[in-house]
Amino acid sequence: MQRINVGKDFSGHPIGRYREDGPESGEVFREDLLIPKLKELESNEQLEIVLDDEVEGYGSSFLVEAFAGVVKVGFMHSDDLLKKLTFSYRDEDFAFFETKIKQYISEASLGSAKESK
Amino acid sequence: MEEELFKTIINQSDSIKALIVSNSESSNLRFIYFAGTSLISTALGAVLAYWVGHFSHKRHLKPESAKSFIKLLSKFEEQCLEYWSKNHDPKESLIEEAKIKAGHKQLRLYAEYGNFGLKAQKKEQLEKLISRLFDEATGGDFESKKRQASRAKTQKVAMITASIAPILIEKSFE
Repeated sequence: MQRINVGKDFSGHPIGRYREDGPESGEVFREDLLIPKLKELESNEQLEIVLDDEVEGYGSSFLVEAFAGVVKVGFMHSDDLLKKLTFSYRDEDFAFFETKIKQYISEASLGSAKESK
Repeated sequence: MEEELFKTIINQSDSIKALIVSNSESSNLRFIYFAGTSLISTALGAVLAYWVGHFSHKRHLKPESAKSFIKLLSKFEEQCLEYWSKNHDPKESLIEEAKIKAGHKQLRLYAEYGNFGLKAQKKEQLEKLISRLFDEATGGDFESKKRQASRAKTQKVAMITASIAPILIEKSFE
């Protein structure tokens, strides 16, 4: 299983939506880290996302752009993405963010970001 | 005659001894009985006092928790409305965003662990609304330089907050 530790591999302060919002934004996370890691996975392999290591919390804008964005840009169908991802955290409050990420991915339509452009 | 008198004295002495022994046993029994009942009544009193205190504290806790939650909610709403009623500002937005994220965390934790005495269905309703509040308050162009004032956001936040309050207001008057 491959792993992304958000706090250590990306930023302790994930913030913002678009690339122009800064290097800690959801779009940068998705394009520079998440999608490349998903490409490296074997067919039955999963990607573990460590949510709370050195991270205090997330905003919905970051989570939607980072995770639901994978579906919206047309890279992967929501059901397939949900099967590929697992989440871990020590702080039980982060169960809330796991639920939200899964909700945002489920609600995303494949390729909707391309259609709106 | 003297012999009879002597026997009578000896008999009486035995009776007195028996009486003394019997008295002493009875006194011991009385002491044990008294000490036992005192201990039991003290213990029962302590247990009763604990339960009376415990329940009156619990009864008092629910309305106080509900009132504190409503205060937090009202403060959170105010912060969100302030934030979403104006465009992005590099200095102010940074502080406001931190306050909104921290404020939502407080609401989330309070809703989960607060002692409001809500039934399971009401608690679930409360948690769903708080989850929706997160989507609206920190969604869209939150933390983005592109953010513009949003009438839709301010209205949605205000409406969700308005739906949360009645669930707890009932409890705050108990």
